[in-house]
Amino acid sequence: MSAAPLINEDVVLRASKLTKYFGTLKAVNEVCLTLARGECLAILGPNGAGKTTLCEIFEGLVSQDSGDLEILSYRYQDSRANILEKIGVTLQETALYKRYTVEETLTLFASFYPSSLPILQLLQDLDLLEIKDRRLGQLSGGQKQRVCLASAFGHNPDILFLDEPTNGLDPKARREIWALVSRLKAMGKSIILTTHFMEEAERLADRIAILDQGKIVGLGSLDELFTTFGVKEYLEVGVEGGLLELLKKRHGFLVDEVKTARGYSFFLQDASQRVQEVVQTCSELGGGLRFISVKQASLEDLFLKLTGRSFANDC
Amino acid sequence: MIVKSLMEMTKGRVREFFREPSACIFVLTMPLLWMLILGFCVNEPQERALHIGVIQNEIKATTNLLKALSDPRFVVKEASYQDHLAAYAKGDLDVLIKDSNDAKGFELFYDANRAQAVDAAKYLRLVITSSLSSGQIIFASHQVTSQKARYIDFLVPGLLGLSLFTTSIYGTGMTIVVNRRENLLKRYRVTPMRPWVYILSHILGRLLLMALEFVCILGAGKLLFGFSSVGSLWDVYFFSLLASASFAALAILCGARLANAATYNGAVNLLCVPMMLVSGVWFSKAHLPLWLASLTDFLPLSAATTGLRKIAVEGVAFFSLGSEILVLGCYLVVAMALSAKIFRWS
Repeated sequence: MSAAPLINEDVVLRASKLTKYFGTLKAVNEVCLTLARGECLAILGPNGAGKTTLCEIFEGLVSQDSGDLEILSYRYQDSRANILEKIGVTLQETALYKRYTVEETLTLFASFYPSSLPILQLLQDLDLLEIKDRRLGQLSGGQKQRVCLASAFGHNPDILFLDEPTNGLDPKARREIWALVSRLKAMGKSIILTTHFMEEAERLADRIAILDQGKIVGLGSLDELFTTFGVKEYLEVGVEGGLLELLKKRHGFLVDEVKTARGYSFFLQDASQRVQEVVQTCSELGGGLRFISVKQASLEDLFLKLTGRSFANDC
Repeated sequence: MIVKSLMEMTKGRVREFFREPSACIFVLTMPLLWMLILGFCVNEPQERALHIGVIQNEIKATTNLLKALSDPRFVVKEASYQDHLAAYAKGDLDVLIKDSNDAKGFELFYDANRAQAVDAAKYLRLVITSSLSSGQIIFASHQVTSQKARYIDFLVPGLLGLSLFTTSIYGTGMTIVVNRRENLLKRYRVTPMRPWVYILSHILGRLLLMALEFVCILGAGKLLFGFSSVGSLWDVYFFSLLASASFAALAILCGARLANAATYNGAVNLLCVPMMLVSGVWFSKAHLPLWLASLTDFLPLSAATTGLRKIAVEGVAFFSLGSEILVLGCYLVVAMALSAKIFRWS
């Protein structure tokens, strides 16, 4: 899929045909992406899809084997320091020094940058003021993650790369992080967020890139994705015997069924309008319809449609 | 920005140390424990050959004397009085002996406060009397007044060297390995902090903590055993700085690529434990086979303990320590250069 140029928008990141091999494994496969100023882009995919590798290419930790990456008009090859001064990063499973206090941690990270927000303001902005003197080893998972976010945000970066920021957190802590990310977004920060939580992508992202086996298989806003891939609604049917084959022969729109726990799903743009036709056909064919229902498609359904695999099973 | 980040990182190194109880205990108690055990219990190494220094006589040949000393319990070295005196101060010799110029007899030089030296002198008299049975032999005894002939005076600089070595290797190196395993190095890599700032902060942190080890070990030596340095304490301090920097660089090199603490420990033990045993920390290298003793001169721990003893025991000035400074300097430069080449951030 090629990156659509963003018209009238300030592009802060442009990736073109990024490819990365680990041995013979193509971990990132010709990825093309753009990130607009103030936009939140979620890279969604199951474990092993290549999200972290892609994110690490963006962060300059891993260099691509081919393709081009431009961040704020700079390239890592010749302007690494310039890029690093303008991006903020939280990595997956990073343990900051557990014997540092929150304030000491933020002071340490602030010292790496030519300019940074006042620590007090940072503590206030990220709701860390009350725990500023506590050591990281004494904090909950959610509080630690807030400190990680604060350490990435302390120098007021233009772009934030958040690699699975809510991984391993309980639902309450996850919601707190979502609120925080929303606040950062409201401050005008551009954010690239990798996640395997559908709800997280749906809530936070302006656009979603669905990554599967290193390749972007879908890119756009939620509505755009549903429309582009014809996954607005789906018709789920439970039938007996060979009725399914007969129905498929009779109705051309019943194609590419996906087996579900109860029966079969067909993704359709106009599923609700097709129910009546299917019910009538079943009656004409002598019954055998156990149930029929129309449901709003979710991001998970979209993933299922695009990859042929259930997202939940992969995570 | 570089100065600020270097300061913060170095401050962090010191903070990590003081907030890690096991590190504090390891650094401060281990050398003291060694000092107490060896200082009070061992006192002198037992059942070893007696090291006799035959002083070259410009007037009389020492042939007869050397013949008399062909006893298997003696290790005999012939040198000038001044050279022997320096070796005696280091604890390498037990008794010095010289043919008298004007009488049929010998002059013995030893520290009457050292049991080993007194025993050696007695035995020496017996052996010479029985082997040169041509009339009465007169022995004139002289006290060698060097306080440094005590084992504890030999031990304290060795323990200081050992402490600087172990805290670097097991402290600094392990910190790097753990930081890598926990992705913290990777996190630093995505900031504009220069990589060498991280490396240098470890060395500076070590130098600051070294002051604490320095005070603890020399202070305990003074309080418990009356140890004092013959050479300038500043010289001991500056040489300790060089040794610490060199050890820290080696520790960084050891931890340059590994991400597994157990592997690091195993690898470091394999390298360092033999080095500790042959570097003259606890006992003089004079008791090693000559070829091994010569080889150990190139080991960093050996260079450190030798240098520290030269200052503290023999009173040699810092800048007169040519080979020890050269060896430690080489390790510092080479280890830093190699680390910069092979260091892995993830």
